[in-house]
Amino acid sequence: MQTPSNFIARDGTTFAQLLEASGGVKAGCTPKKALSGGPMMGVAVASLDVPIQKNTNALTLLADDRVEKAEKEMTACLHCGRCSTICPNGLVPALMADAINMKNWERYETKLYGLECIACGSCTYICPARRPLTQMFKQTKAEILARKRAAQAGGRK
Amino acid sequence: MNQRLNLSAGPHVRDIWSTSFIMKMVLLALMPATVIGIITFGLHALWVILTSVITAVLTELVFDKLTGKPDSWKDGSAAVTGLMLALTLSAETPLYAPVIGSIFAILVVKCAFGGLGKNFVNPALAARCFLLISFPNAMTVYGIDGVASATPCAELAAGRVVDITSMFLGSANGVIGGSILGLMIGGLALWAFDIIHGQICFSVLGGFTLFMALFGGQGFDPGFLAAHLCGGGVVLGAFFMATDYVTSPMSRLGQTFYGVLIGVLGALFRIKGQSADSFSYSIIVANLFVPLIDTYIVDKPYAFRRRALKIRSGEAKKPLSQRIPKPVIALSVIALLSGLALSGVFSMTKSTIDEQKNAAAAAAYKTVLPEAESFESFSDKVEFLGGEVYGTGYGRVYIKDALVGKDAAGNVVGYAVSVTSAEGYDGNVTLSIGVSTDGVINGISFTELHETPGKGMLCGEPAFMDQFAGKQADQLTLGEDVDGITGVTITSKAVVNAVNAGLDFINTKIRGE
Repeated sequence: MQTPSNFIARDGTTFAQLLEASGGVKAGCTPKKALSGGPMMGVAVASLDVPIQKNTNALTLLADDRVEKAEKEMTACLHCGRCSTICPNGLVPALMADAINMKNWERYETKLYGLECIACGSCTYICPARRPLTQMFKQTKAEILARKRAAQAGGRK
Repeated sequence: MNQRLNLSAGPHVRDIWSTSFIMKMVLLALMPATVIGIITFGLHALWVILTSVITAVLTELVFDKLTGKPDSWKDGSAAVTGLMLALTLSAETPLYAPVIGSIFAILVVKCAFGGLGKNFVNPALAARCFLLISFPNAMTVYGIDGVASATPCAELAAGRVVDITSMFLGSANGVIGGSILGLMIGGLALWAFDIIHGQICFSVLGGFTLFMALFGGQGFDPGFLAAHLCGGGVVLGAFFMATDYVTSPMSRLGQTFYGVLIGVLGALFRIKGQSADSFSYSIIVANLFVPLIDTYIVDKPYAFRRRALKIRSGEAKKPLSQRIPKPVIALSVIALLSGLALSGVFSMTKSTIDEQKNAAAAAAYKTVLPEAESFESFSDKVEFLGGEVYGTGYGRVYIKDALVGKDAAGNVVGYAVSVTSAEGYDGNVTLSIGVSTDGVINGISFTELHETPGKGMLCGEPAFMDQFAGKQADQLTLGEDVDGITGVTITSKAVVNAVNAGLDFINTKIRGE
């Protein structure tokens, strides 16, 4: 965008209005992607005509979709261990991904503490093989928790 | 603003470091050692390197095309494998060796197990060991400008002093990537840029040094330790081979454990095995342990570390049988059983083996003193036999047995001694020497010779052995009285030293009195 700025805005203001207030898109650029939030944990939005909510912290525009490219660059896991050096929670993402591929949920949960993942995105960012680690963990965590809830609900009956 | 924007799950940015970028950095880090190797060993080293790298990349390219896999040859991992293989080869290696080695590394070790990231041992090292086993002759020709001589590591194994400075710079005989200086530059740079894990390479070096100091027999002698660290690919192994991503554990704890395992195994193999290639094998063995390490040794996340401490301090202690993983117990039991079985077989067959040895010795005496009908042992000289190293200047030589040969009428026709030199390239060399009463050597015969086929074993051929017969001298000199075999310096020396010790024993202790 032309000038990155801070705004105090009411809930319900759309991103498009915010962008206009900040001076619009930089000349010669077409945004390929808009994020509600920052580049790491932000959620992509399909259009700018989305109202902000009380938990919206930022609008990020990307002229270049890095994820699209990363999908093409993806190679096999090298077991380089860069993900485990970067993980703020001390997990070993590469082994967690292996456990997911082998559908070994028990190892994922008890031995690798997979549910401790905070989905910060650091492992995906640093992975030289461009593997979508965080995305896998988010999904797996949701699945495991859903299954647990179902089991609990079943037990209560 | 109505056009559709791209949607995807975050994070939406990626590091610039990609697989091929890392591979290029590793290639770059290997350059100092490569360049020094080419300068030291000449143009042939360059051909070996080029052949190896090109074959490796081509093999992967062909495999990718044939199997319709994504183009993994472009990412540079095949080139790294090829270069590493070349660096572990001697500059004198004939060019077919790197070709076969690279094809083996890429096709069998890497692609057959699922390609990049799936190989179970380090491809370059596996290929080196494959070549060592398949072409022992071609693989063990070391030397500069065709002057054959023993490698520093072989000299070290034989207990001699070596020149550490030349080993450090890489001008000592050895492999192309033998320059410790070049390897250290590259390795430390990789470590500084966080490409390799410090906990692996430094625990390898630490474990190796400590074990060598404790059990190497020479204590904390800096010269001895430095020589061992500089020789036999310890640095190449620690910085480039052991840290290979695919075949090293993922968690920090596991990596440290793995590094120490390599260091200790390498030192153990070197002390007990007397082989210059101990480090290649120790890394391969440790590679095989990696899946086990990765399964059982995983760092705890921060939230769980304090609880683990509590368990350790005794607040919630699990029984021992539950704390040790089952496969570990099973493996230990299997190791124990096979150890017992081996020692059982050994003790059962020992008496038979001894009989066979005695028969072989008797036959050897007969060969070197054909005129003798019977042999009498020198029981009064028994204090010279066994135990102590005989004389000075012969190296670690032991007189095993001494006999007087008599003909049918009971007249003395000659003397026979059995001498062992512990300085063979591959352990003991034992031979019998027969000397007639006038001091002329009748001949020599080996009762124990297990050197490299086509190299040290040539000493057991008539071309070498027959040189001794008919010589009448107090001492023989290698190169004058006896022609050594090119490239077999150590064994030739050991044989001549053993013969000299035997001659000295006969002249001073038997005939002299």
